[in-house]
Amino acid sequence: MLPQLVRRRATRAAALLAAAALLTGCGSGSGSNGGQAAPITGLKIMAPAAPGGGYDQTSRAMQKDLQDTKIASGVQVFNVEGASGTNGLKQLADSKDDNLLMTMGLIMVGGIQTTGSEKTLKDTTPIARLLAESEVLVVPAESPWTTLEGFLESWRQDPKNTPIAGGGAGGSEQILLGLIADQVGIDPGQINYVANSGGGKALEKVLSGEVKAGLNGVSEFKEQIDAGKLRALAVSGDNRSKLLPEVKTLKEQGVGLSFYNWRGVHARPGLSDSDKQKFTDMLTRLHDSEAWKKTLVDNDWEDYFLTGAEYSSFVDSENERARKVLTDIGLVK
Amino acid sequence: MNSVELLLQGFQHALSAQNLMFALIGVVLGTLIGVLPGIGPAMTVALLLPITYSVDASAAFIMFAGIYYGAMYGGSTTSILLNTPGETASVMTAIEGNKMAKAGRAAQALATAAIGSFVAGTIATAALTLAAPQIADWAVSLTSVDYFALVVLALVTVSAMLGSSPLRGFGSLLIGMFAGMIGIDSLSGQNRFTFGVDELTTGLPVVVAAVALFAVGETLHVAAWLRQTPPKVIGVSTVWGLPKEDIKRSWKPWLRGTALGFPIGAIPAGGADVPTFLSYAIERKLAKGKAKEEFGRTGAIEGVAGPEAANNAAAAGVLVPLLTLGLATSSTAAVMLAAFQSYGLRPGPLLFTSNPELVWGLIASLYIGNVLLLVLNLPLASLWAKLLRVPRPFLYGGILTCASLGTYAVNQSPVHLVILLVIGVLGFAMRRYGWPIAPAVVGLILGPIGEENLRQAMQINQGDYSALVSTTFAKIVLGLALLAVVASLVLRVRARLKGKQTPEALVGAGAGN
Repeated sequence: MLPQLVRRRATRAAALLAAAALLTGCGSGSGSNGGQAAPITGLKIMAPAAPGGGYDQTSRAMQKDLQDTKIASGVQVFNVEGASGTNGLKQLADSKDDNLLMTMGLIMVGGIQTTGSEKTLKDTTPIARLLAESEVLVVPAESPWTTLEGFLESWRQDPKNTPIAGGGAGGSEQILLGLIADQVGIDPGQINYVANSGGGKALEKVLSGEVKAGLNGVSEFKEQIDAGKLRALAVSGDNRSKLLPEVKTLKEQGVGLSFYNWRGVHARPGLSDSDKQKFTDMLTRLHDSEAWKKTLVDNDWEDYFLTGAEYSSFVDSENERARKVLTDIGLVK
Repeated sequence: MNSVELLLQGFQHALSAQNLMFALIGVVLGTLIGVLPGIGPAMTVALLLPITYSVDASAAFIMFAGIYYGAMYGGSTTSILLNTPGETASVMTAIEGNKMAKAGRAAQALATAAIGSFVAGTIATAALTLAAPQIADWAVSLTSVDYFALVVLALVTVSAMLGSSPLRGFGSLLIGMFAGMIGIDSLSGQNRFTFGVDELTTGLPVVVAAVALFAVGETLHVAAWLRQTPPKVIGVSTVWGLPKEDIKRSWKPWLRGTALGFPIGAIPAGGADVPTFLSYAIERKLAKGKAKEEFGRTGAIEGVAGPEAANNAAAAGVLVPLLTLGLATSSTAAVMLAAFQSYGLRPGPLLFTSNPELVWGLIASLYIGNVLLLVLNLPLASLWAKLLRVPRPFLYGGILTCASLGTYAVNQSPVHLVILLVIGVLGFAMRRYGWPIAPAVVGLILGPIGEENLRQAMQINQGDYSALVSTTFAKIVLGLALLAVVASLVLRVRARLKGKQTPEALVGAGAGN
């Protein structure tokens, strides 16, 4: 009698243990949300890309700093993946949620063009531009080119046989490459651009030597440049990058253009002026905080803050520049 | 810094009180879920993945290492006591182990499995420590042509070598590869097979699909077929160790199993299944005297020791292509790869330089997890055995609830629940008609990688298909893939002529994954 009873109890204990484990498994996925009352609550930030990418990092950095500085609490970040962010854009454009913000940037500007997205940035409310990254043009260390001029010379002679790797189709690298080509007298339609779903993959392509050159964010290539595996020919910004102070800008080397892969924040269309002001103030406070300054340094981002009407007209001009070059390349009909 | 220093740093990181706790939680949960009948490591990892989302990446991967190895240990307990292997790689353990258990030697079978797993796991993890950085260094020179060839090899082997028929294997693979195409194509920005469903434009979520195919499919299968049969569990008393005589019989099979498991697991072909079959066959051939009599009758300890060691060594081996090339060669590895991706990490040649702390913390945790598991498993074997007596309706009800809640919790998307159910029904149908699950899961994750590399190779070489065999490496790898197809056909025909049952045919319906 007794042993049987004991066994039955043990079985029940085991069942409970299993159930408890299953429940813990269920309960915890939702992550950390639900904080205490603080200035701004219920904020949701959509990163219109896969975790780990630029939008995701920007969103999570905002989340952390907004919470750490107590400007907002209980900020949620979620990802809506999809070609160059247009899936997320669609979701924002259809949203009625006043507490929804979306990180976006130049890549989305290009993505809207290449995917022929029904929704455009006109279907959102621009809030602010936050930060930017310079792009850097690299060649493998064992390649014959030591100067930008030398590389451009051979590229001009045989663009088809000069595969160049960068990020996704219609993204910032392809736009920049088209702009450079146009500037130095190469038909953008002749570019052999090897798209990659991520900067890491583009880096591998350059390191393996199967492409002649690569374009990507400075921080993405910096480590391998410092390690001597890649040779940097030029950075794209107005000024030299703090990360690669020896590398000359395009302008310094006679290519008259400056280019940043920038990122900003938009809200749903038809947002009330008071809400728009609330978010502008929130991001201005964030921008002025010490935490954000540290975040910019830690992530190798350049401060590129802009709000209001100036920001809106900036978006328009970037849109026009991207549209023109992507049409030249043949990505936009 | 060399890999030993980096590993020591990894240990420093993994041995902090907090991370040690995560490792412990990982091994306990991994064993707990892994021990449940019909649940293999892939399903365990997929089910427990949502838990790891609540902690930061490095702690999550430490927990993950524990879950991975814990699920392997748990799986062998079920195989031995209940004869329901959760995956093909533990089929061999079930054959001899369950016979031993029936003959009253359950404790010894469990002990040789646990100690063998520890020995093999530790040696193979050490091999991983040494080999992976070298391979990562070398892999930097691989081009998209080479990657495409590797993907072909992995896909061919996972579908052709195992399962009841290569045709069903390829069918399952095609389902997986098709599912992998759903969504917006990252290289051109075009929608493919999304049928106007917005959620599908982001692609089929791999973890949801894996949970659906494994957990929901299995639950429906059990509900449909096995509801009435109460499990026949063999009881076991507390296991403290292995008698001298059994150690004497076990240590050589442990080492032989390790020697087979790690290298075969490490090449991107076949995963853990092939080495366990080979190990069993070798031990059976080498058996003399008493052992020879026991094989297939009362259960020979060599037949448990070898395959278990091979299985765990291969589990470490599989991490080599996973970490250094970003290629998954087993369904468990496919789920792990999806986990990496959900943290925004991309395994590949550069992972060791871009995230050294995380990688070495993970590897250090594998050593730690192994020790924890040995300590945990021997004395607690009887408790795990009791878990097997939990009535199935409760058990599978719990699994289904957890699978659904976990799926919902990750993205808060009701559409994902619909996807879970639809694919779950597909998983049930595949089990019903004997289609293996693993090729579908591996195809789902490797298909898009293969496609991207193929298209990049074409872009770089301006559409010249002969470029696909332009490198020596690609020639060798594609040759191996061809060889694998031919060899599997020849072996099958020979086995059929001899009228023998192939080991694969012994895999029960529940082990179709």
